[in-house]
Amino acid sequence: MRREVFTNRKVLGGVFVILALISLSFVTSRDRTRLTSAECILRDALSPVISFVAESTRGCRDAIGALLHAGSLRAENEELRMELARLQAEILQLKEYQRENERLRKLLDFDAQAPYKMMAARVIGRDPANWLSVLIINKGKKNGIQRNMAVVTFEGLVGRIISVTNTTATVLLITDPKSAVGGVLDRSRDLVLVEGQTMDPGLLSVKALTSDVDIRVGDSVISSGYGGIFPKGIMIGRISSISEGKYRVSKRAVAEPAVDFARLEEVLVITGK
Amino acid sequence: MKVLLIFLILAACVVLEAAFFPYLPLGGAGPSLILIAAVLAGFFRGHVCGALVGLAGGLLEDAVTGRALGLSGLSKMIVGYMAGRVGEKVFKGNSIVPLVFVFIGALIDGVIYFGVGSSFGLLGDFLASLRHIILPRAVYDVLVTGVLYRLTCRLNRYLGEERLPRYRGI
Repeated sequence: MRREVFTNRKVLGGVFVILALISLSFVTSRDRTRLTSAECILRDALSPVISFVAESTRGCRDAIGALLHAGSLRAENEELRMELARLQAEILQLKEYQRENERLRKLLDFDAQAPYKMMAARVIGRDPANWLSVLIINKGKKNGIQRNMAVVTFEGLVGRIISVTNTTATVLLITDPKSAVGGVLDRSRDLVLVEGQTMDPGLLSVKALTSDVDIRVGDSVISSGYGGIFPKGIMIGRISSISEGKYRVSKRAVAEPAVDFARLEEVLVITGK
Repeated sequence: MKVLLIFLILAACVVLEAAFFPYLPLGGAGPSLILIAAVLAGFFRGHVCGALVGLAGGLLEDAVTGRALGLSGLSKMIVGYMAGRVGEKVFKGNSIVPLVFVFIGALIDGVIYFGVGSSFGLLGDFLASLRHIILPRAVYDVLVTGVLYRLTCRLNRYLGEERLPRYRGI
């Protein structure tokens, strides 16, 4: 009899803990404006340790990585050399365009676009299993970082801040299925919606907003500036494949992000205009 | 004292998961040291210890690197509990057995995490998750367990033969 009572208590206790955890994760999986105190305290307490480990093991990681990828590194090195030569030629051409652009701007009396205020931050942590496309950076509330600030690198758009503690902030990457960015095709100026996708993590799903959109493989997608979070004109990615929609009235495309998220170590947070 | 030591080990696991292993991915995923800790705790020290280590480590992992507090805690608590329950019925002398436990535990952890996470709209396609996260991570977990196995055996001996913690009626 007594044993039965204990067994029932154990089962009830187990069910209670499971339900409590499911409820807690349901509540905290919503788009939260702030983290719980426990999360803030733990993140702030561990962030110096995480930062120290990330910094001090960089050499060790690079050495192991180089050993594991020696063959591919050689090929990549060769590819990069060729890319560098091509880019140098492109830079020369772009400088010429820039000078021309400045002259035209003056002529048309346009204000030169004000540069954004940016703050450099170091990536100190990631979701270990890659379940969630998030990064933790070493700048937080006390540095003026706020929710929904855009995060970029010189390569392009990274994501937006979704939660902040005193010394850290969490960045939701544009590759996350919950992320959506208004984009524009650089060549045709057609508007698109760029979302993270679940079928092929790491790539972006590009949805055309109209049926007659002019989209081709290789087109660059840049941010449209609509929505108020991401500034206009930041490189998002390049179209890698295109398919017809379900009823052939819309087009769906897949884009490769401009940013190499696997090797991201430093980012810039856009803190204001 | 032992509880503090276990907490510090779990914190060290979370730090390594967040700051070291993401830069050395296998098939796109890093290992889950917390899962390994939960499975081995259950395997060596019984289902209560496995569940508590899984719960504490998972919650710590959620708080530091996750987006939903409790998701990892739930999956790892269940896996730690199951490892303890099944571990009571198997021969522990063979060092291959814990590796099999970790592999199966990682698969179960992945399925639970995906099931709950996708029902809250956090995760999407199961087959893609299985290919890109669950399977590579299970293999990585086995490799890491193989490397750390002797260390965990020594730690288990250091913590003593008596199962921790022990409650009336459990």
